[in-house]
Amino acid sequence: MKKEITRNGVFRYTDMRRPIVRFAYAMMYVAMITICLIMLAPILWVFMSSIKSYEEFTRIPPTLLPHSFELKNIPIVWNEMKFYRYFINSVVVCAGCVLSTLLLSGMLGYVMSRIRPKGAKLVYTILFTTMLIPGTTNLIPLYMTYINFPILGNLSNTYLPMWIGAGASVYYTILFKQFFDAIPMAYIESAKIDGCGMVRTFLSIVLPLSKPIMLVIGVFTFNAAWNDFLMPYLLLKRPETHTIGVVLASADRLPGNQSIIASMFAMIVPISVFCFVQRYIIDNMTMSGIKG
Amino acid sequence: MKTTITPQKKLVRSRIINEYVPWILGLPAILCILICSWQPLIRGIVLSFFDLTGYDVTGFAGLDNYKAVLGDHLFVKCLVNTFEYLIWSLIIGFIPPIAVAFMINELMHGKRVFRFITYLPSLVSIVAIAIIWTTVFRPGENGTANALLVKLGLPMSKWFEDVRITIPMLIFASTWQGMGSTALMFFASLQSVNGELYEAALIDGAGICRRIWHVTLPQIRGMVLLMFVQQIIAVFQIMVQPMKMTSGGPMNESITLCLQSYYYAFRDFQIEKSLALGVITGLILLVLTGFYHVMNKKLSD
Repeated sequence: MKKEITRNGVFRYTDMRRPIVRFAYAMMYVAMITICLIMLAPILWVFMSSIKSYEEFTRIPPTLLPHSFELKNIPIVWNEMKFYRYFINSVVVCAGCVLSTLLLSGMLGYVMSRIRPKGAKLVYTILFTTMLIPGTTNLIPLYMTYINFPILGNLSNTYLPMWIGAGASVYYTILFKQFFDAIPMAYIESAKIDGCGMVRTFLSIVLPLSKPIMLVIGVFTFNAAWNDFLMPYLLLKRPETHTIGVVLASADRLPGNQSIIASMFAMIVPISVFCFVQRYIIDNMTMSGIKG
Repeated sequence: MKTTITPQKKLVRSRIINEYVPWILGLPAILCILICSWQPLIRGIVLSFFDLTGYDVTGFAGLDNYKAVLGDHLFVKCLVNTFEYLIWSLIIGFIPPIAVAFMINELMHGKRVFRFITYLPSLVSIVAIAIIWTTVFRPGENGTANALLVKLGLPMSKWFEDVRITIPMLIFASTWQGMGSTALMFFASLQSVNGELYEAALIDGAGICRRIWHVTLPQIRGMVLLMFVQQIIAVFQIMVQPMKMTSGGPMNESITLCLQSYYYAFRDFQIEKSLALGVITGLILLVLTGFYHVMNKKLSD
């Protein structure tokens, strides 16, 4: 087969003989670049506003591009607002959430996919039904549960609710199961013949094979936990337990461009994590059909 | 007591190990799911029939909470607004992801860069977006968007405070954020279209528009339907965007069912009303999600 413009696109080389098609094709580049500019503009605006001086930021009418270059405000937000502290808190919450999702959802997915004890089918059906339950309307009853939790009592000002929530990712459990389903049973059988127990098979055969799915789910859980705001906002009342999301929720009262700098701190982490791993992620995401 | 392990006992024991012990691995996740999904659902439904003082049950209320919610003059407003969000989200937010995915799939260069940039806003937290949006679209002379309008010689707008465009603007903000991830789904679907089909259509003399209409669209129809229902479900639960950007205002023009439920609980401290409204919203959503899952199942078969 001769080479085409794209493997499975509508536009073919033979179409390109007509000038109107060439024009339309060029217009698609223009449209796509315009869309990318719209997508980037607010993000760039945050970075540009962060380096404006207080005086310039409050000027009327505001400047579109920064005239001043002042980094003074950035350390002010970082130090005086104790942002480093919220940063550490957020990292702790996120690390716990990632660990919780990978471990709990991974284990349940593995049990349903490869061990298949009695009742596995029933649990799988229940999981699918669970996805029918709308999340937002569950918010208030769930909050009531956390402030009066059996045995442990009041869970506000702790990170346990977020970690429990991360462990309850039904969608990721099902993704894990489907991924494990695709691992050839022969691998697992041969490990069994070599004398590996259940746990050993999991650790030395299944785990190394499932790095790609762990990476995708891990990064998504991290970003979701980092950007999560509602439950932490309701539960974390003591300032020393606040995460970035909670601080940001009341940051709109800060003077000048300090709230913008706070937003910059909040978005810089997920964006850099994503830049770092996007090569692996986007392809995996396209394949496994994850919607973040 | 001395125990001897006969082969039979061994068999029974290994069967127990094989059939029940694995559940120890699965149990933590199942517990979390019960705590986070099923338990609040049941608790919400049950408590919505009781009188509450703070978070404590003080007596049986029957349908009184529901009457109070349905009788609240804001209920109709919330319902109408939620549907208004829905309509705007279909006007503003439904076609762009398909178009973006289509263009990325067609274009020879820059696929990776385009996918990456359109996905970037999905990584920004809603709260940060609210801060950015409300600062850029300040209604007065100190707003960046207004400064841009003045530079272009256009009249200034009141943005969020202009009731005609409050909801479209909130929808635009969510579309800006969510478009990249939806486009990725469509992109995956477009990638799976067999290129030879276009080849065949070309030989039959079909032009580009006819190829899109008769080859591309039928091939991605499943994904389009799926995303359509998913978007309806997501927009129906919209809450944080109006909460952080407009607080439901101006004059309750952007309040939604879920936001009102939140306000009942955490602003008016009428938990029982909040729960009743939650159940009503949940019922509407249940119809929508049920529809979605039936369709999803039909498509995956």
